[in-house]
Amino acid sequence: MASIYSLLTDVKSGTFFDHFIAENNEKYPAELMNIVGRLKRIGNEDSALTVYFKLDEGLDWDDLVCALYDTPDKHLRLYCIRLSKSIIVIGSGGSKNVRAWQDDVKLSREVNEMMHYSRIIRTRLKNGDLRISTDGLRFEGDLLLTK
Amino acid sequence: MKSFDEVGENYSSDLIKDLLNKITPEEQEQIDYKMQIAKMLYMALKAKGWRNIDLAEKMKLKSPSLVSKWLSGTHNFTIETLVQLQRLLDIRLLNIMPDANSTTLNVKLIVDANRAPLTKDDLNHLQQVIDDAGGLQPTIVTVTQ
Repeated sequence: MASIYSLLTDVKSGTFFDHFIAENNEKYPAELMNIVGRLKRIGNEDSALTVYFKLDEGLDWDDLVCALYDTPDKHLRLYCIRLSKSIIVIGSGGSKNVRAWQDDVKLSREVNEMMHYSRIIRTRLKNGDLRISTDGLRFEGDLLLTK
Repeated sequence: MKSFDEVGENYSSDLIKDLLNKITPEEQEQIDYKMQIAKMLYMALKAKGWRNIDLAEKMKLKSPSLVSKWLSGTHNFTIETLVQLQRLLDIRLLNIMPDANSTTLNVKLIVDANRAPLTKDDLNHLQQVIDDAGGLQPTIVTVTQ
């Protein structure tokens, strides 16, 4: 089992993952369904095994930013912060039709955003404002990352 | 509009709910099987102490990137690949073939103390039942009072 979190910056517009669904639902319904089904499996049955993700997508060696694949011949990418096998934070992403995400403005923004929030989360975990429960499955403490 | 503090951990998304409801049990089962196979391969590689490149070499693949794809839980395997992986990794991914070492045949044996010992005809009949069920060799157990 694993817990899957997302980020919320504006209650009205929803979480980053809501943005991801809204942006891709019409154009990539099957790919989106596949990603949601995989997240369901990760959350309910498996844990977030490293092999399910494309690791080291961020620029910093310790940012834990990775991407969740959809079907192999498709290109929809969901960027995540994989904190452990039991906790992931999912963000947004998009269709990757370039060799590297740096070559795409939208994907660059999404990855940089995840790197930014990863830094905040890891700092807050280090200073104790944010903690991980003893079973490893939940964040505890102040979930408001920026004030 | 609610503030973040009001919403807190109780946030729920209709978009996510709708999408989850749209996945049919059949679609979810296909995803589950692919991810379960990937998990079994991953565990088997770990148990053998192999890296992706070790498996790629044993499978005579041109690149270990195909192994990464197999492990991602998104791959549609062919029977040929699954059979090859089973043999190399000593795991069972397909459980449809009878296995002489593990198949169990349930035979109800009634022991009646007042009855005469099993005759050759009785044994032949038992052998016939076993043959019909898959041709396994019976183990004769002597029951003593």
